[in-house]
Amino acid sequence: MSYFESDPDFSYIPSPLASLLLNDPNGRNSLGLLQGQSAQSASSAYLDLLRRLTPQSSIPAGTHSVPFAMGTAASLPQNPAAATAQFSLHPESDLLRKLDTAIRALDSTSGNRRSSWTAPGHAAEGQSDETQVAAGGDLMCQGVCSMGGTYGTTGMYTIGGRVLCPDCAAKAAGVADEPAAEKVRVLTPFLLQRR
Amino acid sequence: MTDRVDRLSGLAKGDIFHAASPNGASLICLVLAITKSTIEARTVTTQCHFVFDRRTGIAEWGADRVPCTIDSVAPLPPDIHRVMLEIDLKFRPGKGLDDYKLTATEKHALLFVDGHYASNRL
Repeated sequence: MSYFESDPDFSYIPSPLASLLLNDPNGRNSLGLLQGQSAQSASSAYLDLLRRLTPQSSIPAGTHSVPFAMGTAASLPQNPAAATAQFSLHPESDLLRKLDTAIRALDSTSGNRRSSWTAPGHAAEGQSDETQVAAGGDLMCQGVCSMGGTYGTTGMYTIGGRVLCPDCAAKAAGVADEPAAEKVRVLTPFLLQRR
Repeated sequence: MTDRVDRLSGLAKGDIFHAASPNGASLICLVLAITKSTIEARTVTTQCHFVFDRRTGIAEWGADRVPCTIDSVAPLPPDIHRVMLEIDLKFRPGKGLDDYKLTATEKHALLFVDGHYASNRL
């Protein structure tokens, strides 16, 4: 029975990386095998990792004798590496949960999950990009409002080669005092053309 | 279609016609030159230069090749035509903004043109 299976109230689901560390597919302690290290050095490395992740931890340095079941209990005797992979963790300690939380965070920030986000219009080679860049930005008014007031709101008309906002265009064309409908009709031939 | 081609081919240098842009801009164009296949024109207000296809009446504008289409070639009354030529001269770039103020006659002409071309489409 694994550590997780031993507690009926335990709803803990380890992250993929934690699962890989704690249980190998064959039900054996995979820590030493995974790291390519002896069980003893893997054990030390694992404890070091725990200490780094939990600075307030009271895990003492040195050899630890409290068994920590990884893999199935039945597999432990069959796996020489597991027999020596012992830690000072109490099985009910929530340190494992902290470790797994930390590993999940590492998973999400490391290269384990490659981000699929790309900037609009910059699809990677071989990928399709459905985003069409519509505009590089508004053309600002070059009339008097660029010196104060609205400080250059979006241009809409072209008069004398200058981009003008509706207010500045109306002033420049001398129709500011005309009724709104007439103002629009007079200024329509000056509308900014899309380039 | 043939009628449209005939009317477009009837344009001559110095004529004024109307074209529309997809964004709703009203293009009052003065014909600058006519070739076998094109109509070169300039808008009297914004001074943009267009080259229209003489058969289709479509000009492509700018880097995005925005299609601008001739939608009316109805001749203007002589007095309005003359005012349009004055507007063409007036709106050459390089002046101060105060120099572009429209006179009452010019405002009237622009208002007239708006309705005139709308009611005389190709």
